[in-house]
Amino acid sequence: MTSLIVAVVATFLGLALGVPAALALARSNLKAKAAIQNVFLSPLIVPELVLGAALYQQLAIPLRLQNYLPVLILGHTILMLPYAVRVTGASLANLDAQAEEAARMLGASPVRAFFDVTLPMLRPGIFSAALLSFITSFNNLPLSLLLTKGSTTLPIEMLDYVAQGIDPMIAAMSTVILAATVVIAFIAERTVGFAQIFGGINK
Amino acid sequence: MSVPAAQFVNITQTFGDVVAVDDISLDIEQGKLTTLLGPSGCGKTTSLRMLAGFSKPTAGQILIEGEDCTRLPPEKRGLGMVFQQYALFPHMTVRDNVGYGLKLRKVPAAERRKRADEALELVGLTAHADKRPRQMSGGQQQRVALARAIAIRPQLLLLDEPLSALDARLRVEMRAELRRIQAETGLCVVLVTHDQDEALELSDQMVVMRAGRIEQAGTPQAVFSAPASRFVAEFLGYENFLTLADGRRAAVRPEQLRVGAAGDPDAAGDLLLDGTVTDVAYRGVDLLVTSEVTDPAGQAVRLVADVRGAGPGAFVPGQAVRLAIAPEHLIVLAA
Repeated sequence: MTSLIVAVVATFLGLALGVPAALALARSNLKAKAAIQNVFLSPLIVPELVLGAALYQQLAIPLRLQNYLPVLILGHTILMLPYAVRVTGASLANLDAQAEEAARMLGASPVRAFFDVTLPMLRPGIFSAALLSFITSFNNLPLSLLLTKGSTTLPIEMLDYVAQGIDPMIAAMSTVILAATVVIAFIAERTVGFAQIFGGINK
Repeated sequence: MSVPAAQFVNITQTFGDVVAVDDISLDIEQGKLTTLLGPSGCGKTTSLRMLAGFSKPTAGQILIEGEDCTRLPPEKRGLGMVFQQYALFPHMTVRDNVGYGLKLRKVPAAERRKRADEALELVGLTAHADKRPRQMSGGQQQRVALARAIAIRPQLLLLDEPLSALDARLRVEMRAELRRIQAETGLCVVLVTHDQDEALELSDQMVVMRAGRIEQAGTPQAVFSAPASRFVAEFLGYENFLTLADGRRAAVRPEQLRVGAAGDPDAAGDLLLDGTVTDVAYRGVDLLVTSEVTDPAGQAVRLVADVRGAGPGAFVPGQAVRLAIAPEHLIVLAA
């Protein structure tokens, strides 16, 4: 249950921060654009265990939290950012910028054109970013490892079980998670297509 | 005379150090089709985007129906525009695409549907109203884009290289289609293109641009029969240039250069040039014969003649020939 909450909230926060960031990055012509983009992508490079340890030392301990859930969610949100920025960015890059201009010519204000045309065109990209984030968060182990006081995620729970001995419940859980992941992947493939999700390699 | 549909008044546009449009003034006449023609980077698209409202000129004024619109954003100008890559809304049906401008104008749904269907009928796509854009071919999508732009009944229709994404045959078909639609609607159209055939076929007024300036403007016939400069002549397909005895430069089209055997007598008044064939290319309907001859100024020049109906063996490289140009086909250039 904790896993679900963390995954849903972190995905939501990741998108809430990542999508506007991707938009700003795509539209601006700042010199620091590449640097900012790298900041958003950096959670992919930093080992998750390091991020987990840092959050543990800098937030969880100093704040004397009884329940680490907020820190856990924060960690996952940081982890989700690259997906949100990268995937949304990829679909933005494929986006026909002239469609928004066409809407302007037909009488739409910039805000109206964004909501009527650009956002709906981005929807598949945002949707796939959400799915990808959700799965990543739901299955995450290394980041969660140090941050589970008071609330444990499913992979950690499973790790504990395995550490204590082989139990058929683990096999059952694994099967369920695997099946769920396959279903989600199937939905993603049918609605958007994998090529699109993983950076939009070929249309 | 009525007020021009649009006017550029001393318009300059710079991007950083680059001068994209350099002090142009131009009147777009009501009900006519004006073409901005030129190679890429000549400022034609920048000019159109300033007229559309997407970019603000660095200096000068844009007037629409006599009113200063220089600072007005695109959505307040009421112009229609068709883009190179169709720019349809993929998440809407064809009918909703066409009706979008009317929806923004708060036209009631029934009226909106009627007018969208009318616009679709005009472009011959009535049967496709409920499809999504991606279910249609490129040519059909471009017609939807046209219907969408026309549906708002714009004062002025802007076409930004609308046919360049289509294949060659479709392009020719769509030209005829554009002519028909313009004749039926009486719309004032500004067309940007780099295709001289398109410009010659469609324009009432043709504006040839180069490096941000207007090189020559006039009816297609006026510009074609008397190009003002070598640049315009080259752009319109004059491939041969030579210097006359008095030092002036002149141009000749390949199909107006006659090739005969050396020493051939010819009609009085023709300019005769003696030389040797250097290359022959057989192309089915015609034969391209390249010869090196001495022009009246005594310089060696290479001229290409387009000989209709000649077989591949009619001329061979190394052959001595005499080229003849009738005086009316010798276009003397001002610059």
